[in-house]
Amino acid sequence: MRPTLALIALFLVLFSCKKAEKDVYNYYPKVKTLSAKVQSDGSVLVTGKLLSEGAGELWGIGFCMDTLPHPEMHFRQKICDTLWDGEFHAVYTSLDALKKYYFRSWAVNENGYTYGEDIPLESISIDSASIPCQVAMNTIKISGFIPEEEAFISVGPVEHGVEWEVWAYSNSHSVHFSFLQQPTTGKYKITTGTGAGYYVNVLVDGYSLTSGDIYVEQINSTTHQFTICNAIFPGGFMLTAKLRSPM
Amino acid sequence: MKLAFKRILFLFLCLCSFSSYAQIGARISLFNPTADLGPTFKKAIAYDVYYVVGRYDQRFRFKAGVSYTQPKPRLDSFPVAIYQGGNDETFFPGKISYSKFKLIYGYFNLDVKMLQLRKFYWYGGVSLAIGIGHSVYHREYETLLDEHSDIQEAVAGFVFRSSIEYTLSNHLGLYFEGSKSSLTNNAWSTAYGHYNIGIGFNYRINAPEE
Repeated sequence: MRPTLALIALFLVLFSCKKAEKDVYNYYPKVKTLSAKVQSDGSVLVTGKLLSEGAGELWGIGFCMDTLPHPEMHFRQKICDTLWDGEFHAVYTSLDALKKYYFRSWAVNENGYTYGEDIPLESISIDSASIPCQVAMNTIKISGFIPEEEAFISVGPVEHGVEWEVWAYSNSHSVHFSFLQQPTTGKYKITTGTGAGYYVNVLVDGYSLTSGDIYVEQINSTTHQFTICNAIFPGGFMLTAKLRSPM
Repeated sequence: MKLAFKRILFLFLCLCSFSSYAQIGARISLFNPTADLGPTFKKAIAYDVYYVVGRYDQRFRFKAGVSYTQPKPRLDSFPVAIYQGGNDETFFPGKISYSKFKLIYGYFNLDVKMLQLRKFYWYGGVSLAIGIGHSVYHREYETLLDEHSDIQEAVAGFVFRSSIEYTLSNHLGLYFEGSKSSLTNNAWSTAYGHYNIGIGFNYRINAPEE
């Protein structure tokens, strides 16, 4: 009986001695939003720094973003699982060039959470120097297949079912861009089928591009510019194009 | 409730009057929360009243008493987060606020006289304590959870004490005491740890005249 009581007493003493922090905010992690930089492809690289884990086990770090100041943790949340010398990073894509965004870091430990400061960014656009080909507006070039340049007339955009589409025609060719939703400024990977929440399909004369990148620039709320550099057709043909819709 | 309190007080005073060594006393102390209470509650005043059997010149003395405190939370609301796993893992922000926290416990204490220097006495002691912790909290996580709860749970554990007492007269002793309380709730999940530093007095009811 006595050893049991002694053990219980020891247990209670050990678990009840943790001294309180003088400043209650020392229980929480401390984090700083260091930067939010527009990348050449129109994405935004955000960087944060974990200044302190606080008095408790760290559960998570990351970023949130919204078009209003002081975004809450779960708005467009990015969770980071790696720290480099206390710093962590995330990339936001598909951002609307016409909107102002607020990015901020957050950190959670077993006691609670804190935020870093907001970093606002607006007029997010692709750095045209980063697009790996130069081509005249409203033309396509197809290597080895249709080696010519033609003027196109675009139609759209239109909402078609669950897709957002743009059609463009010349005398002898048609180009069809399909997105799962209206694209914002950024670089997109061309896919050949629907994916989870992501779908970019490009058809030229009925042939689907099998791989490549498409650079979208949102000129204003209704006008988009598409640039494709050396995307692959079936049979190994390459497509390079630049189209704006509507004209 | 008031009637029950009066009955307890009556019994207490009867017990006091039975023993020529009986003392009653009170302590006022600063309650310093530690462990699970530390992040949440501020320091507060704690009140103790007790009954003692044992003279100053005896090596052991027994004490039975009640301690009460009602600390306020350190923040109006505490920022807390909840993790939702799965394919779309997300941390959601939330907040929790506390009110009406009370800690009341009774204790049985054994004091050992460690040293006596003229009218100064140094005691060390340990108490077995049992009582109730009560709080009301409101916790909400965006659209995931909105919870109000009124918690009343049993707490038990030990209190370790050390005091230096000065006897002013046969009737009255004044002391300075530090104590460390190691209490837990009935689920062993919350440590109601705290330490107190305070002053008090012991009054010997049937002391012989000097």
